[in-house]
Amino acid sequence: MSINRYTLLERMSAKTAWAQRLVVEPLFLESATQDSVSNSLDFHLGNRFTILRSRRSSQHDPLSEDPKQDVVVRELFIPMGKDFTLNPGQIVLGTTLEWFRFPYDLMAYVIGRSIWGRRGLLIVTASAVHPGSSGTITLEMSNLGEVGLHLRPGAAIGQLFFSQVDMGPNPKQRRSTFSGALRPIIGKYSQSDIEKLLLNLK
Amino acid sequence: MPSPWQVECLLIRMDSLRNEILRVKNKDRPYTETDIVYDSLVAVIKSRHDMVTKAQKLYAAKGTLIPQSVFNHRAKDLETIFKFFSYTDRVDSPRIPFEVLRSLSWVANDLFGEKCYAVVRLEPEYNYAILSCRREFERNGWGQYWQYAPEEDTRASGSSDRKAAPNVLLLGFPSPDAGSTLVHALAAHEFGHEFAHKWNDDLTEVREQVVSEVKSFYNTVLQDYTSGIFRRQEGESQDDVSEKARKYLLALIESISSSWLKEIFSDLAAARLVGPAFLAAFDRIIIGHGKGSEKYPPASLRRSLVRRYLEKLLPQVISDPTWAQLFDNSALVDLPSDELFRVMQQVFDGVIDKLIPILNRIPSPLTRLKANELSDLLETMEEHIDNLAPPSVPLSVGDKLPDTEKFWLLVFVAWHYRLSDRFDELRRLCGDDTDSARAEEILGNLLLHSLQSLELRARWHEAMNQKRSNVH
Repeated sequence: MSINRYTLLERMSAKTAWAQRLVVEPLFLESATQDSVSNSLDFHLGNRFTILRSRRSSQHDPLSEDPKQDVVVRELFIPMGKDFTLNPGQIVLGTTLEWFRFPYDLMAYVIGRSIWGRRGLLIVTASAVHPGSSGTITLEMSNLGEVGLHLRPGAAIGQLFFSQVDMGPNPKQRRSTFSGALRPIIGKYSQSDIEKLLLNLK
Repeated sequence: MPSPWQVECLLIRMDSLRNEILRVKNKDRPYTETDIVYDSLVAVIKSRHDMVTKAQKLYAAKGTLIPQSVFNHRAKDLETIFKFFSYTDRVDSPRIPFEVLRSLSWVANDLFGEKCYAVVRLEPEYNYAILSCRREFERNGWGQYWQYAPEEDTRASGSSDRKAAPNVLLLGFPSPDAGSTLVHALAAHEFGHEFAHKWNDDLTEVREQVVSEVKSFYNTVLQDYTSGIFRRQEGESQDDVSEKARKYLLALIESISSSWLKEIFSDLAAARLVGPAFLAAFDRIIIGHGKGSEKYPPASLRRSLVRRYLEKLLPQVISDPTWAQLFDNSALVDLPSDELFRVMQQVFDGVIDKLIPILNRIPSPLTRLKANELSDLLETMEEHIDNLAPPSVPLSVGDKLPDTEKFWLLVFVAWHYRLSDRFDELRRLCGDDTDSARAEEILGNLLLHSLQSLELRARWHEAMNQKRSNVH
């Protein structure tokens, strides 16, 4: 079930138990009544970016055990008031300016704002934010257009649509590599047991 | 006198340094606050270049070469400019928590009542330091060049007059800990140095009292201190040697007293701003060189004074068992072996009461709140950290505690959490009971995000108030 903003604001109240509490920091609302009609919550572009760099090898292999085979990245900090150009075909990782702390019974989908989408900006590929996760949200941004796009930290670049999920019998704070993250991390591929088996079958 | 070739070499060096500064200025950098420093250095080089070429023409007309003293002065300037430039040339590393800089600048503007930009550079030495660039310019006699570059000014106002630029506070950060936000508690100590400079006249009075007390030990303890340093030369009487030794020692006492007093004052200023959290961050930096030197007082003396000051200032905070581990070694047991340091330590041990009237001018966020208010707020903020939510969330902006002072409150809370049992729980949540690094990284991220959010929310609050007042 999609959750409206009025309920989201209730979830953010200090009176709400931590198991159900949603935290968004910083939260910029002009007024609770004006902003409570929508079904989504806007987020803004953060200051940190990770650029995937070209390297000697013509391709990268995230499944390889050898870190030299994986992608090489460069981290950039763009302060408020400055901009960053995303070139056509380029992919860059960014973050939300906001820190989100999700309770165990809420998840969200990250959706780009159409005003940006119509200009060729795709902001996310892994769009689900799991219950219990915490930190800034990493955005995988790509310019599908034919000309460069100026991106400025602080721009309202996307929105979150929240859904309620079944908590199950034993809800826990989600533990992942990305918990508590502030920077856009490329992440290390971690193979599950079934992947190890399947990938090594001869 | 320098040869024409040597003068030409000097001018070429000036040109190459100017080009290098402009190259660095035009590099793609995360922030451009250091442009003020680069522009001002270029203006100094230009003035020195003009001075040399004018002198060259002037003396050539008289049929002589430039005097050696003029040449030496300009060569010395060049050396100082190069050194200054090197301070600002290591400010671009993604490991630096740049997010904190805007908030630090915001806090510094409020504390010092002047527009400041805080900039961080990575220090090759394991030290946390501050350099007030405008003050350094003034010290070098270049104060008039601390200005916006003409093109900058023209862009801003359409005028070609140069205007004084804001100050740039260059914070040196130990390179291996570049990513640590918690260590930024030491910014409170470095800001203390700025206060020490601002109230230099008052501190000079205290220093004079200290020096006179130390001198009173001369006849009893210190007379033999210099006996090993000065030996009788041919034609010198024993009285000459004793006088030389006495003068040397008194100059040394003056110099040590001045350095130690500034450090101790800055420590106590930091204690006013962030409470015992200053000592926690201090411990991270001071490992291995706490014995004291002519520049720094012994760590044991510093800890002891901070503790005694906190006992007076924040008795309810210091009784919190979480901070107790910081004070386990704060008794004055580690007396230095050097006789002079031993005397200095003894005299400085009584300096707190003399400094309190000056320190009282510095705001203290921890004393503005009543004991129970502070304790309730601490609990709520730590509960947020337990739940991986930024501790700034329960801090509303625009209330009775000035927003900029909440910066220090957040640092205080983060260190309290780090030293409490709750941190063990965070470590377990991170999946590793033994390794603190990951949990500390998350705590640092929460703090960094909170510091940035606090400033952004305060600005938003101001903008909304402005909008409302415009409507009315």
